[in-house]
Amino acid sequence: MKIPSNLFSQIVEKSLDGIWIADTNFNTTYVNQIMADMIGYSQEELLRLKFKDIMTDDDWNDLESKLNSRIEGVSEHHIVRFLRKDGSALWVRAACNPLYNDNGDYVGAVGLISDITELQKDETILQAQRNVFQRLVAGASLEDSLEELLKPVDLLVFGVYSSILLLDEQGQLWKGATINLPEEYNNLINGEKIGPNVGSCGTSAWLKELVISENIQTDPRWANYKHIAAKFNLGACWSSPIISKNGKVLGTFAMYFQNTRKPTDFEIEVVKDITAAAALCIEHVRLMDAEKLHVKKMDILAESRKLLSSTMEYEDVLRKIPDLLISHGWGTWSFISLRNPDGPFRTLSVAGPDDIKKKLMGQVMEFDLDSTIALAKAIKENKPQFGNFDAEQMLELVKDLDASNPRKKLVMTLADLRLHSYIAIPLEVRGDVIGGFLLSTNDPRRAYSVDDVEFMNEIGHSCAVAIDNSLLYRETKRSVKAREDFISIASHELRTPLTSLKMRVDLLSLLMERKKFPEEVNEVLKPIIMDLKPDLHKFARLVEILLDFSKLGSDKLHLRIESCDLSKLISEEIERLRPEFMAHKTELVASVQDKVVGECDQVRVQQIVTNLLTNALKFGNQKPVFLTVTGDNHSISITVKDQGIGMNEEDTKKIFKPFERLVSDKHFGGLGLGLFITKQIVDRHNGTISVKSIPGEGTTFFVNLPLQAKI
Amino acid sequence: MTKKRILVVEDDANIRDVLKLALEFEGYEVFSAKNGREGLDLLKESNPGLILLDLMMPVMNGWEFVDYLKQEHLFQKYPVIVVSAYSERAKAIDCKDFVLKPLELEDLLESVKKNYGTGVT
Repeated sequence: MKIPSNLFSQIVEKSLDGIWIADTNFNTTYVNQIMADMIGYSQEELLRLKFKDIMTDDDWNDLESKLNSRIEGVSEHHIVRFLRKDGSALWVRAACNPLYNDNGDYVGAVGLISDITELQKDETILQAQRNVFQRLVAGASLEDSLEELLKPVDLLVFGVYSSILLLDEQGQLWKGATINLPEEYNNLINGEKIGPNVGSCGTSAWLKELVISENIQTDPRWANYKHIAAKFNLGACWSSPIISKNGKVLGTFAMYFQNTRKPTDFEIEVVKDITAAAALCIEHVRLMDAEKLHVKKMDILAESRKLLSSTMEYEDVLRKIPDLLISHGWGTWSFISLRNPDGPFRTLSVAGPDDIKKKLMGQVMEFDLDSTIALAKAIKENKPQFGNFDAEQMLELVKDLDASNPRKKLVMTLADLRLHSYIAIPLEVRGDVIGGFLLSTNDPRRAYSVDDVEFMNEIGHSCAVAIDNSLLYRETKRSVKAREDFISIASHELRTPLTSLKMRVDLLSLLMERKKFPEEVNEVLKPIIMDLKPDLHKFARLVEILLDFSKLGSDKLHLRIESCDLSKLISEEIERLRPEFMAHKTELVASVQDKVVGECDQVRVQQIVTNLLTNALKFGNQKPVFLTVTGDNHSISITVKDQGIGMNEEDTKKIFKPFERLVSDKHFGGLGLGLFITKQIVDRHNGTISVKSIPGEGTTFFVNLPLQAKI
Repeated sequence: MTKKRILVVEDDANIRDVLKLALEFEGYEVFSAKNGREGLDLLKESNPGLILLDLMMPVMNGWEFVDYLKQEHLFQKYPVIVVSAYSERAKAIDCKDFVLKPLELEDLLESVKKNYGTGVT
C-alpha cells in the first residue's frame, strides 16, 4: 500500500511532531513549522544552520557518530539536546530513518522529533533529589548532599552557576552548596544577614519571594555587592527562597549568569522545582537533626545524672560536667566555678580544645560578683544569661586597668578564646547560689537559643540536686555519727555507776540474808530491796542494749565463739527468766531437745533467747508462751510463739530495723532495739531469723543457727 | 585468827569501795589501789594471796600490771582474778579466773571463794 503523493505535504506540515530532513552531509533540507517553533528559529534560519551550530560541542560529537549509522541504513531513536535561540536547552526524542531515492540510493535522513524537555527536567530533578537522599542516608552532611541537587542544573540551563544558601536562626545566610561559583565569591558573601537590599539571595529570603536581577550592576538591591559580582563577572541572577511546609525560610536557591539577561519561563520552572526539592531535603535533615538533638539531650542528661549520682563527693563529679558538654559537641569551651569559702569564685574545671589555654583559664578564672563576665552576672542575679560575646566591649571595660590586674587578665584570656555565643547558668542550692557554669562556642554559626538555655538549666538543676543530696548525705552521716557517739558515751557513762549501785544493793541483800540487821530493820528493808532488784536488772539490761547497739554501729560487736551445749545454755536462760514470767502471771511452756552441741557465742545466744522471750512476754497478752528448741547435726532451731496482739504483714517487715516500735510506748516500754540486736547476733552467727504473725492471734519467731560457726 | 589478804586494783572509786566492803564482810583483809602503779607499790606491804584486777585503768593498766608481775617472776606468787567488761582480753591473760562486768556481786564472791577459800582461816 502506498500513500498518495499529494497527501505527503499535508502529513508533513500538519504533523504534531517536528519533522526534520537532512541530506547525506546532514545539512538541513527541510523542517516543518512545529520543529521551528520548538527550537525558536524560523524555518529559513534552520535551513542555513548546521547541527553543530545549535548544539554544544560535546553533544554534537556524540550525535555525529550516531547519525552516521543512517548511511548504513539503520533506524533508531535518539535523545538529543539542542540549544534554543534564546540559549535555553531543548531536549527532544528523535526517531531517525535513512531516506532512499527510487533507485535505492541513500539520499539523507528524516527525523520525527518530539519535545521532551519538560519530562527531562522533571526526571533530572527527581533523580537529583534521589541522589541527595542517597548521600544523606550514607551519612554525608547536608551541604555535601545538596550539591547533588545542583549538579544537573546546567544540563537544563546552559551556562548557569548555581548556589543553595542556608539560613540560620540569626538570619544569616551560609553556603550550602554551589556549582561553578568561585570559592572566593562564596567566602565573600558567607554569613551575610538577610535584608531588603542584600543582593538577590538576601533579598529573596527577606521578602520570601523570587527575586530577579536581570542586570546586577544596575539593580539597586545589589548596590552593596555589585563590585563583588563584577569581580567574578556575574551579570544576572535569580534567586528563590526555599520555604518549609510551615512557611519558614530555610535558605535560597539561585542561578547566576555571566551575561545580563531575562529568565526564560523554563528556567523559572527549574528554579521552582529545585527549590521545592531543596525544601524537602533540608526539612528532612532539620527534622532528623531535631530528633537527633533531642536524643542527644536525653543522653547527656542521663549521663550527667548518672555521673552525679555515682558518688557523694560532688566536687569530683562537677569537675566532669564541662567535659561532658564539650565532648558531646555542645560547645567549644566550658567551665564550672564554685564559691571559695573566703569569697571569690574559683574555677573547678575547664573543658576546651587547647590544653595550654585550658591551663591558663584555670589560673585566671577567679572572679568576684562585681566582675563584668556573664557568669558573675548569672550568679549575682541567680538567673541564666546567654547571648553573643562582645570581646571589644569587654576589653573596653577593662582598658584602664593595669595589665597585672586579675580582672583584666581574665577578660583578656576570655577574649583570646574568640568565643561567639555563650550560656551562663547559676547553681543554686537551698536558696544559696554556690557557683555556676559557662558553656560557650566559637562556631559563628552556632548561637545558643532559649532551648539551649533551658537544657543547660536542666543540667544545672540536676547538678544542684546532686550537690544538695551530697550535702544532706554528709549532714546525715555527721548526725548519725553524733547519735552513735552519744549512745556509746551515754551507755558507758551509765554503766559504771549502775554497776556499783547494783553491787551495793546486792551487798545489802546479802547482809540482810545473813541477818546483820536487827529483825525490825530487816522487815522494813526487805520489801524495798526486793523491789529495787528487778528495776535495777531492767535498767542494766537497757544499758546493755544501748551498748550493743553502739557496738553494732561502729562494727565492734565481736563474737566469742566457743564449743558448748546449746540446750543447756538455753535451759539456763529459761530458768533465769522464769521469775519474770511468774511476776507477769504468764505461763512459759518450754520444750528443749537434750544435748545440742555446737559452736557459738554463749552470752549472745542467751541474749537471743532473752530478747525473744521478753518480747513474747511483753506482747503475749498473758497467754502461754511456747519455746521449742530442736537440733540436728547441722543446726539448731529456736521457736518462740506467743498468743498475743500479733501484727500485720507490713509490720513484720519493719520489726528487725532499729528504733521500730509498732505499738505506743505508753503501754509497752523498750527502746525498739531488742529485735534489731537479736537479728544482728543471728546474722553474725550466719543464721536466719523470721517471723510469722496474725493480728489478734499471736506471733511466732523462728531462729536457725548453724552449729559450725563459720565467721 | 589471820585474815586472808586481797588486793583490789580498780580505778572506779565506787566499785572499789563496794568491793572492799563486801570482801571485808566476807572476812578478808582488803587493800585497794586505783591503778596498776599503786597496786605494785602496795604489793610488798599487802602481800596479798589474791589480786582482783581491772584492765582499763589510767597510769598503768591491767595488762601492764600483769606484764610487770610476769617479768619479775611474781605472777605465780600472786594469783589474779581479772574483772573486766572485755571477756576476750581477760581471757588472753593467763589468770585464775575472770569475772565479767557488769559485775554480779554473787559471781565475784563465788569466784573468790572458789579460788582462795573463805576469808578467815
